[in-house]
Amino acid sequence: MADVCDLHVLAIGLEDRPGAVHSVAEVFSGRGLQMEAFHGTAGSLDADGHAQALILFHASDERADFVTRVLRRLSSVSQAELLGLDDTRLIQSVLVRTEESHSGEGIRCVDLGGGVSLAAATPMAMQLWLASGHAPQRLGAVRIDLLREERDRI
Amino acid sequence: MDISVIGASGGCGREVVTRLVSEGVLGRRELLQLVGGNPLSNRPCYLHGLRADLQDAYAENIPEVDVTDSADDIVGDIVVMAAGTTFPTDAGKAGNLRSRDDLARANTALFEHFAAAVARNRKGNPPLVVVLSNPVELGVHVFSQYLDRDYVIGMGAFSDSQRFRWEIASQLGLSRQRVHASMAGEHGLGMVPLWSTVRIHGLQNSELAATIARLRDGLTLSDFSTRLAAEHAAVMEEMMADAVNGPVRALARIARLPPDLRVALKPFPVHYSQAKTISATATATVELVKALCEGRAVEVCAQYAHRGEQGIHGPIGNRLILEGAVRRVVPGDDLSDEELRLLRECGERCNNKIQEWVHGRCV
Repeated sequence: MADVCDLHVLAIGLEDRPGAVHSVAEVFSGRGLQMEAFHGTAGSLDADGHAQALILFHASDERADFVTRVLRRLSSVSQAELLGLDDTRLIQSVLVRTEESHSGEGIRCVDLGGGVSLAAATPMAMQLWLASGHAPQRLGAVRIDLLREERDRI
Repeated sequence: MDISVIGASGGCGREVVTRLVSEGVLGRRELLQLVGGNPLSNRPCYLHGLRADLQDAYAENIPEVDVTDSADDIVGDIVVMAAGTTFPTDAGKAGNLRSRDDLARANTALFEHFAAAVARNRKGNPPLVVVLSNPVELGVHVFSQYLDRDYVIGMGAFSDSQRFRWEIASQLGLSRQRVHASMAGEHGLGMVPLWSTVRIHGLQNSELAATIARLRDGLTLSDFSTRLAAEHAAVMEEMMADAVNGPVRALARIARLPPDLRVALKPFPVHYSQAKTISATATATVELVKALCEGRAVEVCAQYAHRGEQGIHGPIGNRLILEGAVRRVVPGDDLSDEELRLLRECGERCNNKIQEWVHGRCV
């Protein structure tokens, strides 16, 4: 499956109302697509008042494109953008055990105290670091976020 | 499954949309897409109003309803093509033979517009296209040029078969559910009644044969097209002579004919009465769409772009096995040699006519 289905990231702007996420999830489940990760923020928690979701999923490029087009037709979706893992606006982060050194190109670590650090990097760099064997013990799930500039706000 | 209806603002398209919603064919989270796109429309907001009206009327089980004017936005797993010009309903102009050719040429561009858009965006994941617009054979031909032909069917023969079942059932005093029959060939005066396929619940062998013979009233398959042409001329003359009452008298005339002739002729006075055949067409469409949504394998009679199956070439009606797409043409070993011959001739005539419409040359 991995050699025909790439990992895609969908950045979705949602109407901030109950059921919006359900509608999005139905588009995936109805097509037998597994959401590998779902990160959502309600509009009330977002400084700009926009609800946003990032969804990671495996699919062929054609299928990913089609799912994106279907999502754009939903009344609860204001925007849907398909991103590649090499998109420079994407940042992955993970909580790790604080260590003296943990070499990883492109990895930035912030000590949160209590032996816990937050490591952040682009998805490509993060994937390589986590697979390298040099990464310290993970203490949480790998999360993803989309850097937003004012003009690119979703 | 998500469903896109192209031409949802037309009489038939609107009826299909309303029935899909009212009968709960789609789940609440599935998508019903209303596709417009007529740049000459004098009511560009219609579909938005229709959506609001549907949501008000069927709030308890309304699916997600999307409105778009762009053919590139079509995302349905099933696409119902109901857009296009239709014949005028003025019985006084019914005899204008040029109108069928004009209709075909006008709708060719429309068929190509939508077929190209669907192919552009859905090549690897084609929807099943169900063509309602006329000439339905032309619509099936054009869409089959852009998409895999197994994903394109025409509703004409399905509607004709439903009418055939009804005409037989009503004449025998039975419910339609107890009759099975297929009307193949062209959706129009070139249809081919497949009397070999007629099955009537409760009748077998000699009793079935005797009943069928009684129904046919001496009209053989070899005489069918000649008789049909003659009766059609008489019906049209009746309607043109009196645009107001002509359709009613035509219906009365048709009621005295055998069932196969009634199937072919009745739509004309229904159309020119201005009632049109909206209910019958929409009902047949929704029935087919329901079966497709349920994922069942079904046998239907529908237009399909034959390429040699049973020696047939052309987008004519025939019995098909559908499982999300056309899986195969039902073998014709239960048909008579004459029925098969007529189907092959019908296919050839259809192809010639389509060449004339599409390429402007007579064959």
